[in-house]
Amino acid sequence: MTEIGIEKLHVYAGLAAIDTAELFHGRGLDLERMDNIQQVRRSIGLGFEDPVTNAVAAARPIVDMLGDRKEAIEVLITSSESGIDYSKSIASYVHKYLGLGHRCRLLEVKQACYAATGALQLAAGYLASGLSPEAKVLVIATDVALVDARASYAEPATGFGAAAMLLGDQPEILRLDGGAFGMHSYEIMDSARPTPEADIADVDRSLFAYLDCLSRSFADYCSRVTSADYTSTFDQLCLHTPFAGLVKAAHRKMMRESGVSDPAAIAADFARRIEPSLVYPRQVGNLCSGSLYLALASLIDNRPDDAPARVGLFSYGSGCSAEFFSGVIDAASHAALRPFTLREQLARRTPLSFDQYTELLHANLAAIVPARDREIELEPYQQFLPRQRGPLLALRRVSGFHRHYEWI
Amino acid sequence: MARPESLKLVLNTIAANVAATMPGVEAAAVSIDRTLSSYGCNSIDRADIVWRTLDDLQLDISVVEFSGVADIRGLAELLCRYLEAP
Repeated sequence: MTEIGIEKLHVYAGLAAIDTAELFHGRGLDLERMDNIQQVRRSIGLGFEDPVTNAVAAARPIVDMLGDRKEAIEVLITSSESGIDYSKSIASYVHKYLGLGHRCRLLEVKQACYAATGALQLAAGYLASGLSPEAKVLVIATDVALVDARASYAEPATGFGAAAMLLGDQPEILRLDGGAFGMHSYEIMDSARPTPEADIADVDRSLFAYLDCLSRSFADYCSRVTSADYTSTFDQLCLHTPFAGLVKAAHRKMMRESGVSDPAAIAADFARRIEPSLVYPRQVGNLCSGSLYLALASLIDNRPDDAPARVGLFSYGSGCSAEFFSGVIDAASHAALRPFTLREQLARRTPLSFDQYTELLHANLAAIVPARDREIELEPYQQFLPRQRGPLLALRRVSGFHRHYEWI
Repeated sequence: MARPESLKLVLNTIAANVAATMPGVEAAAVSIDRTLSSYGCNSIDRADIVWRTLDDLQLDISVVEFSGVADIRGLAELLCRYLEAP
């Protein structure tokens, strides 16, 4: 069977960030609860950024690396909770600004933080079918944040940015274990984005659903991979990371269900198998359906060695739908990720004070609010642009609902 | 209405898990008339306590069933319903 998986992976995590402590102080939040979310800082958008610019920023380094071979990309899927039109996809704009070929299917998918994984698995099936040899699929998870003080403790944990994955039959980043997956879905109103201006969430219900779906999707995985064991089959684990504290609780639950109840043993296992995947998410915040792939990038960049390792991955999207699947990483994964210098990108973000953050909020909360006509000035954001940067795509105006971007 | 013996078992289990999760809280101090939040439980603590209780009682309950639970009494009554189900 042909090996299918992620060939290239790049994450764009914004140009600016605010420390969690700064945000907690500014909002007057209980500092003792910082331990619960275990977040260090979060990425913040600038007023000319939106899900299209984020997606292009994530995918462009991959497409540039391909050169003429980008013509092999015959499916472009954007996964987003930050839709900009009820009909026209984010992918249609991304296709234009990435300069992709005309022989390409364009799709936008939506199922909260799960959709990119659904797209990845459907694309993997397509690629494995052999119907279009040497085809590539580009999946981009892209979102903007719509949180402010009303979100309470969810505000410090929310991320901004995009994760782009090139899928094909030369998987350097992650070789998928074909046919090894488990799913669990049902209808529940745990969190949602019913308007383009705000999220709603029942935190307890969402945590419960996440934990429930982890157990049940893993059980479904075991129905296909009958020898699977949570404690021993996977050298590493990556879980969808709304905040690191939830991942810790989820792992604790799974270990107990697998017969391991000693707190010290659970903590040691967490440190070994999961902690490397949390380094970047703690710096960015919840990247929605890109969160799992930010965790994967973090794992590859931060684990102590490059030996071949089987990774268990869990994706959860509110509403809800979840999947547990697996794949293999090795030294080639690190080599493939290194050129994108994610650690350095995160370090280059401009640090924001709380006052600067609140000044940016008004424009950020309007990022996907429909507007027939709009002009976006760049001058207010010049001070936040890193000195070292490549070309950036910026939303400059909306005319008759048509979005117009420029490279700056 | 839950049978008294079921309610006692469920409450004792919840109380034991609250005490195991929250430093400084004695199981005997956990009251059916309060909420988990009132004992200082954050969202992770509440999830931990509920899942441990479900494990201890060997109950398998859909997440959707917890939607209307607002306090320890509501939680206990829900668990009793499943405990006593034929």
